Amino acid sequence: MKNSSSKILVLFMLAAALAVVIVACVGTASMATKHPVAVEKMPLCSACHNDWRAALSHTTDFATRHKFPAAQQKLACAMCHKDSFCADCHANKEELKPSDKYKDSPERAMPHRGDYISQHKIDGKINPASCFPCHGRQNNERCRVCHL
Amino acid sequence: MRIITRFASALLVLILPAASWAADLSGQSRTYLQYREATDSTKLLPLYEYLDFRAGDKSETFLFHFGGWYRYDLKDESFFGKDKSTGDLQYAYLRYRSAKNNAYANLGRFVVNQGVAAEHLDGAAAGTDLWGGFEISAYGGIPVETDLDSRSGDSLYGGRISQGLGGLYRIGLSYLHEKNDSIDFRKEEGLDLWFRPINSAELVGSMLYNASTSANALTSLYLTLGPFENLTLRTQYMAVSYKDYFTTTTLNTLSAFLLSTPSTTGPLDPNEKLALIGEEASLSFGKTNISVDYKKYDYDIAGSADYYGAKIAYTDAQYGSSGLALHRMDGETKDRQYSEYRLYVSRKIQKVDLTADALLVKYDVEINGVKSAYTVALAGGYALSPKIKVGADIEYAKNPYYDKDVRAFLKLVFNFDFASAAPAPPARKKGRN
Repeated sequence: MKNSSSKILVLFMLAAALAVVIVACVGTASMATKHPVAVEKMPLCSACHNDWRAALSHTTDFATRHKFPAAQQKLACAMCHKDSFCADCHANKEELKPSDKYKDSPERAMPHRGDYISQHKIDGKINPASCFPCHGRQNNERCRVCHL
Repeated sequence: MRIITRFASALLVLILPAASWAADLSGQSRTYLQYREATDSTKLLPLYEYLDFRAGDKSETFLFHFGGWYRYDLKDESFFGKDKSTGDLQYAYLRYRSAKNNAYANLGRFVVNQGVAAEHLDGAAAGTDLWGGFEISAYGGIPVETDLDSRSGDSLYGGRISQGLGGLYRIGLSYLHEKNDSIDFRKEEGLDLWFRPINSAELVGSMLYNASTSANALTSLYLTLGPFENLTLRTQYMAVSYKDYFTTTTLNTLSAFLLSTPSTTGPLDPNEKLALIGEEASLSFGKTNISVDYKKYDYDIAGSADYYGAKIAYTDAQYGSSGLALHRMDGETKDRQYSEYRLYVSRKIQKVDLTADALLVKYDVEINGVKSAYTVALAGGYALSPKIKVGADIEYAKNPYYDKDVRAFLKLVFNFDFASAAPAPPARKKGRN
């Protein structure tokens, strides 16, 4: 363990050193930490931007494809969303269904609405890969209540 | 591990004084009280407190992020056989962010989202933009996962490098290596892509290669064409190799299924391969959206399945929303078939919001002697002030597991924001790129 910790430490010290050099040499401005214009509804980013930011448009299918921009441009997500927004669904450990917390937002695509105990038996066989991102290695204590 | 702890302590000692001259604190407290019955008729009355906040200097160069929850069951009965109280530290990390190059460093518990990684981690991460459209990031520490054993000997590290050109493309390569009990647990390599050749066409995708099994585990592509006037077309493709994608699960059910060869003894066969193709056509008329969608699931072993349907939705940020959706799942066998109907209406009237939501699922084969499952929920909320909101909802359901299930939910949401009187440091230049 000590060896692996040392390797990790060396890796990060090298990364930090590289970062310092880059920051000193490149010098482009960082992305704003907050969106300069208040956004109060599902944003259509493509209305103002025609570069990579257009991909962040919260169209009706955004719940399905949000994993792609989240894996490439999380800094952009953080301009409007706090960590807790992601943690409501993507949790290490969670007992409340997201749809239970937000019954007042029925337009949001929240997983496991209604009686999902029955339905998961079918959906889990149709596409178990859809369970895996949230329950594969984390947040599966509730699964274990039955699946011992 | 001791080395990392010492390194973290030293770093905190160095940076905290720098951030101490100003402190802005903002966050949210959410208090929930839920009433429901478990499937064994145990009555549960859990009280939850979710707290998240961030504190730092006004320039947001140093920010401390915290999020976690705690639950206490007000009834004396057991909570799924677990303790009356429990909780989770979701994230707690110190973040440094440079005004240049999107450079950042995280230290503590946080989530890493980059390429193949979507991980909870106790450790450190850093990233920055480079020349020529390149970006680089790396992370390392101890994974936060469902406990199967001790965390001794567990480690996780990885990184991603990407290159992009303005509004045209970004392509990334990523790597992840995890050890459990000092033994290799996961070795994953990934490719991610964003490509927008013209304004009305966009392709995003990712590929996950399992280096431990030397096979492609997951390919996922998503193509958006449009809008053409009011019409947008979306195509989805996903290919999964079960034995390569589920290799490293900590969920007993997936690993148990996969170990159950031949396929007749378990719902899933480890040699199964799934190819999914989906298509959605969406028409937008102002605040109204109408769409039809179809998904085709093709399996190497199990046959095929179709999922199709339509929905109409109206959304107005000021007045509320409403929607109707009808979908059908046609699995290979009757026990994998159901029809799903949903209707919801939400209305905002000044400080009050009201919501009604109904969901009906009709199964082609009875489950526990029942073919229909429905849920009706009514919710109401009132904004006591711009920062405080109270809400309540009640849900009635009848399904294969509950003859008459009544659930109630109360919530209090408090947003807070405190700024110190300490003088702010010189303003930093911020820019958009």
